[in-house]
Amino acid sequence: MLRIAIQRLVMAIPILIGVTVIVFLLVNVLPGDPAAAILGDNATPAARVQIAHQLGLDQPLALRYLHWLGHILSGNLGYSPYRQRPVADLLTQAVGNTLALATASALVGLLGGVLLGFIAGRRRGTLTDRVISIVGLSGLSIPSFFLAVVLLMIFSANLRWFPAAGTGLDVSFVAFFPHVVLPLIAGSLTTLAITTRVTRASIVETEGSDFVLTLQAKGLGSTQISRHVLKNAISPVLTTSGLQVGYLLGGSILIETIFSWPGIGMLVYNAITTRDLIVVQGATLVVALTFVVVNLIVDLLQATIDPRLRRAVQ
Amino acid sequence: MAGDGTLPPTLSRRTWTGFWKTAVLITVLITAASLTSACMSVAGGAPSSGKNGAGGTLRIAMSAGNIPFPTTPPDQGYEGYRFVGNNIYDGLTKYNLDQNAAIPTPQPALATSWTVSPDQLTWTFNLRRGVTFHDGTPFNADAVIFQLNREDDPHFKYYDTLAAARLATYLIFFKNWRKIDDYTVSITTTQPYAWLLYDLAHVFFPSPTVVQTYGNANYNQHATGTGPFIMTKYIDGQVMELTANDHYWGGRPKLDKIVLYPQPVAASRVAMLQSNGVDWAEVPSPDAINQLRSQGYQIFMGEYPHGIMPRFNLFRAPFKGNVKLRQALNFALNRQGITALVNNVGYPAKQYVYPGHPNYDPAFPGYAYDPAKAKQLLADAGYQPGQLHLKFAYPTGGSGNMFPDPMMQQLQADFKAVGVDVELMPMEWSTIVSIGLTGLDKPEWSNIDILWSSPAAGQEPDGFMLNFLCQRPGGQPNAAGMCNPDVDRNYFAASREFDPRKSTGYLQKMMDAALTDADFLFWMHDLNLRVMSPSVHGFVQPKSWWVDFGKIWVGEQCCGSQSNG
Repeated sequence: MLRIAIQRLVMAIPILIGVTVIVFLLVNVLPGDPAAAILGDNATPAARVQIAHQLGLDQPLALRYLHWLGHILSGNLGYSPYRQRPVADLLTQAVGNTLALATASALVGLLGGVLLGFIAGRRRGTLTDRVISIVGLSGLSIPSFFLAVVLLMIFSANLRWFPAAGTGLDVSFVAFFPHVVLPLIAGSLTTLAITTRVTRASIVETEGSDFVLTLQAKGLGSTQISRHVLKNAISPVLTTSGLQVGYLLGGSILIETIFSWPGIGMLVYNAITTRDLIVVQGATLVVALTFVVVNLIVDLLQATIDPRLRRAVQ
Repeated sequence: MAGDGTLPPTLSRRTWTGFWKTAVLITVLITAASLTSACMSVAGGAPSSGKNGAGGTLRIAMSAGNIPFPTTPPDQGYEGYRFVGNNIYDGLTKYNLDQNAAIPTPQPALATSWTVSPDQLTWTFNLRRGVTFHDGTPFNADAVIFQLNREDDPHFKYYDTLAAARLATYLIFFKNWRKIDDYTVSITTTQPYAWLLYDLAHVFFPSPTVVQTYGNANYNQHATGTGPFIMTKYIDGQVMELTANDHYWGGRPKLDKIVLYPQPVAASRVAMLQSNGVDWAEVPSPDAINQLRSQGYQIFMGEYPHGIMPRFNLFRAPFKGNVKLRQALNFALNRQGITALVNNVGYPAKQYVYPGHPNYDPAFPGYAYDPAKAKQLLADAGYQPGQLHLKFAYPTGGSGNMFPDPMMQQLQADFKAVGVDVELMPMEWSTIVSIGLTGLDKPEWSNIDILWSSPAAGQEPDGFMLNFLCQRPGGQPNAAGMCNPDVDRNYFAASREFDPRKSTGYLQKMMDAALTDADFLFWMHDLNLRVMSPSVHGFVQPKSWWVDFGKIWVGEQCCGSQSNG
């Protein structure tokens, strides 16, 4: 297993480098002058030149990228001239907030999706199955930002059941829970919907396997058969779960902005609008790394669960 | 499945049973905790409220995307000055923002009085005695010299590059400065400059002790001034708390605390207000006004020096040298229609500044909607319907830009009605700012015919420098190619004229020249929309981008009805 993990991480290096090159190029071709964004519309030409020099913007693109990459390899994500803080500090703060929301969203979205998908699959063709399928389809169809605004209007503005902004973590750990409810619902709906549909499909396929007939012939009860079916159907669910967790950990710009949730999404949004390029680059690298690690964990989990996969990987 | 029909090897039954039990337990615990905490927060989470005309905590949802940095000066434009700069710091002068009878002007603050030398080049300021910074450091001439060096002397040990760059426009005419005694300083300008007091309202003074202790790089977390509020909590990107300065030289403010939250989404700011998360929301959506009013919230609007005045690209055709064309488009604009579209949170502009502003020329009729006249002028300018195709760059958002998308769509329809096609070019606000600092004559932007502009139209007389002058004293590029000798001559004459009436006269002549030549699209005046809970008292909406927090207090937390109303 350790060998597999190391191999995967080594293979991820060129992927990460590729991601950084693409993002670097994209943010550096955005229209607008980063120095102007920092200084405002009264900036003098001398000030712009000075700031541009400080940021290294007067250097060739390739050289700037290599400088940045060199700093990354030495563990230095750089310094944000706009936020006047090390990028690592900004990311640490943002990642923590996104992690809190992502964990809650993943728990609800994945566990709820597996549960609903399992029920729908086991009761396929029934009214229960149809209702759950509609829920799943709705989750995929309703834009999360639209749902976020609707939840805000109903449950915050009108009913005042939940706060409209922030994490609550600056007040206390307990205050986190009411603050996370609405962004969690808005942010986990897609995960819930996808997981439900994948689980249902996998359950339906697994139930058509010969071994299920064997179990029934042997006289096992419905509950026992359900357990076996779920164990064998979980593999594709794990795969999509990995992607969903990676997506959640990357932070949702829209959800975080609407709910003033100071996570990676909001950090990147602010960085793009203020042309804080080094923050965009650093955040993208972190998100890409997150995807790589999460999917590696999923691969390892799958290999642990299913020896067929383990033998194939080895 | 194995050939003998046995089950494929997977996790044990005990493991799966344990997994499900754990999952259910976690779900139940989270749900219980959320509901319990929600009840607790709604029932007992209200901040302190004052009584008997004082006290309370004022929570504000700003439209800025981040908390303004508490530097000197702050960032986030005038919103940074409004909420952070003017609360933590003082300048030698400050505006009288506690009234709305007239546009605010510079008043004594850390300087109690001043004199001007006969040659009008040297100002001598008598500093206020008995003032201390929030950390106890005394305010005196040393502190003034320290900060002026920090902002304008690159050789000074504590020179702050970023702050100096942001403040550069206000220090353009500073030649040198010196300490005369502990409570007297002099500032010499490069030319007679009557508006120095306006510039000094932007120059804030931090505690030299704090700057020296923490350095510029770490100053933000320890920002310390002499102002009416002390920064007691600051989490970048999340929240800033400002606590009343009990020893403020101007008298303790009535509020106990101000809490600032950034929220760039208008709908979210309204939700924060309605959920009792804040007491004050900047710029709500115009379509939320009626509902908020019916729920008992206080809606504030009032004229102030801010307008939407797009600039024509005067570097080239079709607008260069074609006054009739520019006038035609000014007459083609149905300003009343757009005003109705944004639910009357703005009103039609006839001139650059609002009616009643000192530089407004009542003798000039201004521009109004007259499509017949527009068509005639268009023909006189040499264009038949359908011949003219324009590209108009505008921002999709940004603080102080009102509501660009619907406004631009209406403008497009208005111009179409007189036979002018407009291609809309939506951009990020930071890109528009970059264009303004680069110039429409540069290859990358030269295809733009009209550039959005949302100036603080007349907040300060030196503010006209941004859009009006052919050559700006600070060396900033001429963004749109406007080069009218009458404008420049009258502007500089006004800046040198120490008699306010004569100075105003010059500025009116400057305006007349720009109006006659239709150098701008005189579009809309903003009405500075903001909404507050009924528990907020003592607020006066000044004719300014800035606000005075000294007389505001927050009473019992009662917010509008919970109906959809």
